[in-house]
Amino acid sequence: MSELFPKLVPPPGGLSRLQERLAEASRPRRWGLVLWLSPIAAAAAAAAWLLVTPPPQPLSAEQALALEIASGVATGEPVSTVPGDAQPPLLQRLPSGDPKLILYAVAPTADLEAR
Amino acid sequence: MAIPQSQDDDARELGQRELEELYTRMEAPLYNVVFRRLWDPAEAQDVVQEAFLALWRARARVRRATVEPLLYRTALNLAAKRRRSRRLWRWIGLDAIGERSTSHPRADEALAQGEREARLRRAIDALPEKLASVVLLTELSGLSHAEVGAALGIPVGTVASRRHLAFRRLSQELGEDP
Repeated sequence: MSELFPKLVPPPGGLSRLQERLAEASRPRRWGLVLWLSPIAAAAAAAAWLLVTPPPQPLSAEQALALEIASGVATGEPVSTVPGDAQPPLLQRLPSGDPKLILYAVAPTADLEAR
Repeated sequence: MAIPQSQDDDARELGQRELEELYTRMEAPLYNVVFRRLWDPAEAQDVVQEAFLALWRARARVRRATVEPLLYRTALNLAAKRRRSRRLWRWIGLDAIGERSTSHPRADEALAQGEREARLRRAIDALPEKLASVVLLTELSGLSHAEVGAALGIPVGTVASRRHLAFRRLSQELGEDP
């Protein structure tokens, strides 16, 4: 029954077309490379950022106090040292978290000189 | 059909020149097999080339002793994939590939557009994939039955029985004696 299957000749130019396709396959695919590398680059950048950036340091006692005073100035209570003084008081009593501690804020020098 | 070689040959990676030599030698028999699955010269040649490109990509793992059965198996798998894709496109009505003519002059000359050829094509297409693969490989590849079995992953005895069954069905379709 081999006469059922006559031998056919393939279309011409097959080898040169294959050579072209092989050359194309061997060429580096830039976008493919970029897509491959981008997650790696992102992970490397994140790791570098974590290594370079120092972790936040806890505040010292002095820094905490300074912060408390600074935040209290806005809500301080004016205190007059001279009875009957008509001028704005130069002292402020600041809120304090510790009942044994009383904080006062003194007006800036410029305000004193203005008097 | 297998390439004579030593153990050292098998360990060496397939080079481009070797691949091109293999293509020169195997293009026609592979094309003949694939053409009978797709009935389109350009597409059949494309599938043959894709099989070689797949071989090239896997060149580090390819054993020379089994390279030819491997090429046939790859080409038949690629052709089967295209046939499935065609059926799908035809089913959703977007392509009339089934009616596409085999317009390449050489293929057309060889398969003259007679009634008998048309019946033969219908008869081959009507065969189940596993019978068609066996009959095409045994008739057109030049591989031994053992190599055909290796290519399709079936025992030699199964190759013989499937070939027999395929020819019986073809004879019935064509109205001829086996």
